[in-house]
This record gives sequence, structure tokens and C-alpha cells, in this order.
Amino acid sequence: MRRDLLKAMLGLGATLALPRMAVAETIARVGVSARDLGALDPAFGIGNGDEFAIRQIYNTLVSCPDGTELIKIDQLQGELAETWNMSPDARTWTFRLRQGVQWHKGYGEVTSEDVAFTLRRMADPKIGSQYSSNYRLIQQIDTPDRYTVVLHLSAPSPFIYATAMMPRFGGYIQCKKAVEELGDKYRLNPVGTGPYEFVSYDPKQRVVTRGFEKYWRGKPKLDRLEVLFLSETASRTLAFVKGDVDMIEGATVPGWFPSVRKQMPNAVFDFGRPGGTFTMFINMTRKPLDNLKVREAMAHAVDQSIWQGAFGDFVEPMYGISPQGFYGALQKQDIPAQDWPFSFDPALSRKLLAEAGLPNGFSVDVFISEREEYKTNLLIVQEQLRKVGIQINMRLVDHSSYHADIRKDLNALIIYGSGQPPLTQAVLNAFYDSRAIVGKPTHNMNFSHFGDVAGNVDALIDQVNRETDDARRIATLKQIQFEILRQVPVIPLPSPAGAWVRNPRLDVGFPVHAFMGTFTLGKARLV
Amino acid sequence: MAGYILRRLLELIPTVLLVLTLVFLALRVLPGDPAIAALGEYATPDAVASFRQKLGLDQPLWAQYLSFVSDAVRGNFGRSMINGTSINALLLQNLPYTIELATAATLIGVVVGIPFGAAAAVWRNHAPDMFGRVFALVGFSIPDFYFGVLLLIAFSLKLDWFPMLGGGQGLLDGLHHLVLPAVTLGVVMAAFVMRMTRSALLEVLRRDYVRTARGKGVPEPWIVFKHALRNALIPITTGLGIYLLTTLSGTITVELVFSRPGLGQLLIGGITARDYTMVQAGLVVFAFCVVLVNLLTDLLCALIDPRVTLR
Repeated sequence: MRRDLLKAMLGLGATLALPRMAVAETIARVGVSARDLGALDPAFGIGNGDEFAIRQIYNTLVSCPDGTELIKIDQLQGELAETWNMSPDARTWTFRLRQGVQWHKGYGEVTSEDVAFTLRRMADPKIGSQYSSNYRLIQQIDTPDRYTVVLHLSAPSPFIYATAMMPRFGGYIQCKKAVEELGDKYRLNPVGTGPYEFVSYDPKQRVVTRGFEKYWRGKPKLDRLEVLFLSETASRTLAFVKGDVDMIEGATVPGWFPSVRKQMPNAVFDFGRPGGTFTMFINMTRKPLDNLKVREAMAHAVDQSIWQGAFGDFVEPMYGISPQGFYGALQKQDIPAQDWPFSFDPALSRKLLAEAGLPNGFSVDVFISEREEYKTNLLIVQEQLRKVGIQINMRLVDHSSYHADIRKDLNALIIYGSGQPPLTQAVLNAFYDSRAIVGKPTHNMNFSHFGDVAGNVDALIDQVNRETDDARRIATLKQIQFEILRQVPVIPLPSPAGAWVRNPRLDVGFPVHAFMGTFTLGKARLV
Repeated sequence: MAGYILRRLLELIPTVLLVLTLVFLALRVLPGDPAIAALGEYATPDAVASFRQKLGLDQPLWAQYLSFVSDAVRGNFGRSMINGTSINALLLQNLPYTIELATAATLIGVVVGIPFGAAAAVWRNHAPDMFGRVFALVGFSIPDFYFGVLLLIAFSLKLDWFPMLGGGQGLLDGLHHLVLPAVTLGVVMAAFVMRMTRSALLEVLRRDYVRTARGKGVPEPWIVFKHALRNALIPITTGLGIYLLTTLSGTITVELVFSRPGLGQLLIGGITARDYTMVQAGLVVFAFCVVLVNLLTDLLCALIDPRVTLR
């Protein structure tokens, strides 16, 4: 009797336990430094939180090989495009799509119609995507068959894919039927082809996705991937150390990395390089900053090695206007041994100030975003300039106000951090073309007024944007950078890596040397 | 009583209207542009203009104000400017977390603060009083943010007794998630209540009727709990009401530290992103809570002290 009862209990226990074991899911949780989601519609997704989630849900036509930022056309890997081809004049691009790729939620197969629809939607000013200007060169889109897309450009563009067809800058292909069917709801109900299918969004808390059974690269090994919004650095770090989240975005606070290493010695640090561009633009319309000698004095007073002492591996020196790993970036060996405005030389700095009629230095009012990475950078600059007699009177403002006001040309020194495609010409277009000067109708982010003041390289920028020969393009890029830097419209600051920390149990599937939003976790597994 | 409550509720109308107006104006005076916050730093002027038109931000200020007020008085707070989520749904989802946190913190404050304060008053300058003073000093001195992180390290990271993130799902899980945030706020409140109880009770214990009761041989516990404490409760209740409002603001920090859903998260996120609709709704709800707490405090005072009449 007793034995029967025991058997029955064991049987019942096994019955209850079995379904549990069968449904045990592998779940990875990723903590991003964001308060909430902006959008999961690639036309509107901004910031690391959105970008990370969007990258897992969607595919682009092409991308850099997993975990890298290799950007040249012969280095790319195909995603939805199986092959791609540029005409010799760089005006016509042909993409041949992979057959049989399925949309999430049963929306059928990806076709050239979806690609054409996406590119037109992204370019449409009425849609209002911040990336719309990336598509302005696309004049005509042909879809000769179900799997072929031909783009005709209004001007040669050998790197059109870098800003319009790759991750991070809106290049994700969207499902025409879903966008039309869902309307405004599409913003938070994405339908993609990526390794993870959208399940739910819990405002201010998380986005939940599940591994897509029909993913064209094979079903991911993770059943679920959750993106958690953890804006507070302390909470995010503690949750990671405790093991509640498997991977978190790093914090750009001096001492943060050693502190995490101490608490979790086996943590894996993924430094995405080339890093972001962090630069201090000098508004050359302001006195005394309109004087070249004053700008040179400032440049000679700033020592980039200070940052490395504070941040260690997280930063690397930037020799020109773009991080070292960018296509066309200036390298250490390119820098002249003498007569270079950015060599650290405080004595020369004081001499130049005296020559400019400011032997006692000067003071300048500057407002800066309260965000750690902005504030810290300016504090380091402030302390160094103080030693040569230049006083920065710093005022903190919130991040949103900062961005609004620098675009109104209200600041004298502008610290700006941005993520660009790893191309020096992208930095030139955004920050040094005179058409991009703040206040102009065609404005972008030229805060220094370079182009209207102290030189102009617009023609050279146009030339390099159209150049199809690699050697000539590199040579021109270097020439442009020297022309710009000799006028000191900017003080390059060390480039911060895109830093993430993960628990060693989360194996991404390949070495990570790129920004987290550039590749998917489709090959990731928990070990 | 019913008439009084009705009158106080009617008084809410001009208060809320004033709050609506102030909030609306304050947000428009602030620098920053919701269009850039929503569309990002690379947004083209066309995209910004289109965004502003879609959300009515290109309308004259008075037209925006009228539209906002007419929607708000009907209880419709619209949609988030940043991601289009329904604000009403967000409030419904988040408000309970803030209310339960504030309530739990108040409970801790009362349950710990009143007995400790009474003990400190009765045994003035003795061990309970010394302990109470140190407790109050610590409670007042440690910032919410820091104390919350300390609790997380000790009880979540090291001891693994409590979860670290979120608000939990279901009753038990919800309570489990509530403990550390509630203690973070509750300790400060307990320190406040303790100090207030101590001083109020000391004041009452000096009164003539207490001396008379002692002279008549009434047992000390009876004097303290039956006579003195009841009279001391009136200033305590008033103070508690005021402090509850501070606690409501404190929930903002605590929600951030514990990554817990709530009104604070909505507000901070809204302010950062210049999500006007979100901030407007959040502040109106906060203002409503303030008025409601004041009303409840008055009602409680009347309940405790029959001499107080509500007119």
C-alpha cells in the first residue's frame, strides 16, 4: 500500500515535472543604458536601446562581417542580399536578394517590392525619418523581378550602402504589407526577418523577443532575448554582477571598468572599435576664438594621454577628425613630427596666447550636457586649458536642451559625441562641409563654421564622395583632413569604444570588435 | 462630513486647473525640443517640421493649451510624443506601483516610528532615546539613492534574499519586489515619525492632566498609550501627511535605483525626452495625489480628535 502510494506520488511528480523540463527556455537578458524605447520601427529608432533591439529583429541588405566594422565593398557580408554590384561610375547599384527569407508573424517571403518600399519610405520627408537624407541620392528604384533591386543614383556614391543599407543608420528592410496594415501601430509592433521575433514591449521596462523558427540563418539557440531598460549605472552594474542580466552596456565613468573587473573577474569586455567620434568644436565666429593663434594655443594645451590614464583601454587617441579605424582616418605615422597644431606643448601654448595679445589668457562661457561622457570630457579639457590661462566657465544643462541650443549656434565650445558609419567622409559631410553649418537651411552639425570661416573644403568633399578609385580616395581624404586641421576648428578628443560587458556564459558566437548594434545575437548561446 | 468632503473635492477643480496651466507653461519655457528628442540628432528640418505638425506643436500656444486642457479634464492625456504609447494606459499600469510603494513606506514609517518615538519619549535620555536619536540621524542623513544601492548590495547581491530589478508579477512576487524599495523610503519616514512622536509625546507628557493622572495612580502605560499618545497623534498625523508628499517625490529616485515601474520613471523619462504629454499627465497625477493626501490628513485629524470640526 505504502509502496503504491509512493509510486503514485513519484508518477505524479514526474508528470508535473516533465512539462516544466520540456518548456525550460534559454533566456538571455541584455541591459541597455536607456530609460525607455523610442521605436522599433527602423525609420524612427534612435539611441542604443532602440538600435540594439531593432538589430535583433530586422536584417539589412548587407553588413560588416559579424563582430567587425570592415566596410569596404569586397569585405561585406550579405544579409537579405545574396550578391551586390556597383556600376563602374558608382551610379547604379544592383542587389540580388536571397530567396525564401521569411517575414516574422507569417507575413510571407521577402521580395524586391519590400526593399523598394523600404528605401522609398526611408527617403520620404513626410515619414520624417532622421535618416532620410541618407537616401537622397536614390533617384529611381527598379524591381525587374521578385528578387532583384536596381538603384539609380543622382550622383556617384561608392559607399551608398554604408549609410543606407547597413545596420545602425536606418538601413533595415521593412515588410511592406505589415507597415501598410499596421499603420501607426507598426512603431511598436515590428515585423522583420532577423533572428528574434518581437513578442512584447513593457513600457520603461523591457522588450521581449523570441528566437525566430524560420530565420534564414537557422533558428537561434536562444529561445528568448530580452532587452531591459536600465538607465541607472549602479543598478545596471549590480544586476549584471548578480547575474540577473547577461550583458550590459558599459558606463563612460572613470574607474567603472576596473570596478566591474574587480567584482566579476571573469567578465568579458567587448570594446567595439572603431569607436565614436568625440570632438570639441571651436565656434570660430566667437572672439577670441576667431584668431588662429588662440585656437592653436588651445590645441597645444590639450594632452590626449590624460584620457587614457582615466579610462584605460576604453579610449584610443584620435589623430585626425575620425577614429583610427575609420576608412581614410589619419594614423599616428601620418602626423608630422614638427609644426603640428595638436602636439602637447603648454609653453608654446602660452607663447601663442601672448602673440595673440592675450598674455594673461582669457575666459569663455560654455554650456555642456549633464551626461557623464560630455561633462567628463569638458572637465578634463577645462583643467588642462586652465593651466595655460584659459578659463572655461562651465554651465550644466540637460541633454535635450544641450542638443537644441548647440543647433541654434549658442555655444562657444561644443563637445559632440556621435556614432557615424566608419567612414571619414561621413564625418566630413556632417561636420566640415559649409552646407552643414548650423543655422543654414541645409544645416547638419558643422558647429565650428568651418567652410565659411578659415578655409573651405566643400569641393574636395564632393570629389571624395564620388571617387571610385580607392588610392585616390584615401589620398584626397588625407589632404582634406590636413587642410581642415591646420585651421584648428576642432580639438580631437580620444575616441571612446562602444563598450559592453557580458557574463562569460553568454557566448556571442564570434569575437566582438564592433559596436553592439552592428551585429545580431543570432549565433549566441548560453554555455 | 459628506458635505465637507464634497466641498474639498470641488476645490480640486481650480487647483488642478492651476496645475495644468503651470505645467503647460513650464514645459514650453524649458529649452529643448521634443522633435529632436524623438527623431534624433540627425533629423532633417523637414522631418522636424513634419513631426511638429503631426503633434500640433506648430499651433499657437493658446490653441495647444486649450486642446490640452479640454482633453485633460476629460481624463484623456493623449499619447506619448516619443513613442506613441497611450498615456492613460501607462498611468494605469504604473500608478499602482507608486501607490503601493508610498503606502508600504508609510506603513513602515508608522509601525517603526511611532513605537520608537514613544519609547524615546518615555525613557528620555536613556538607551531607547539614544538609539532613537542615532536612528533618526542616520535615517535623515543617508540619501535615498545611496541607501537604496547599499540595500541592493547587501540583500540582493550578497545575500540574494530579494530581487534586484522590476516590480514583480502577482501578489507574492510583487511584495517580494516591494520590500527593499519600501525599506529605502520607509527608514527615512520612520526616522521622521520617530522624531515627531518623541517631541509631541514629550510635550503632552508635561501637561497637567498627565501629572494629575500620575498623582491618581493611573498605571504609566495606560497614561502613555491611552491619554498622551492619542493627543500627540494630531501633530503626528499632520506631519505624516506633509511627509507623505515628500515620500511621493522620493519614489522617483527609488524607482530609478530599483528599475521599478512607477510614476517617477514616467516623469523622469518624460522630462529627459521632452515628452510634454507624458510630463503633463505625470505632474497632474502628482498634484492630484497631493490634494488627496491633504484631504485625507484633515479627515484623519477629525477622526482622532473629536474637538476638530470639519466645516
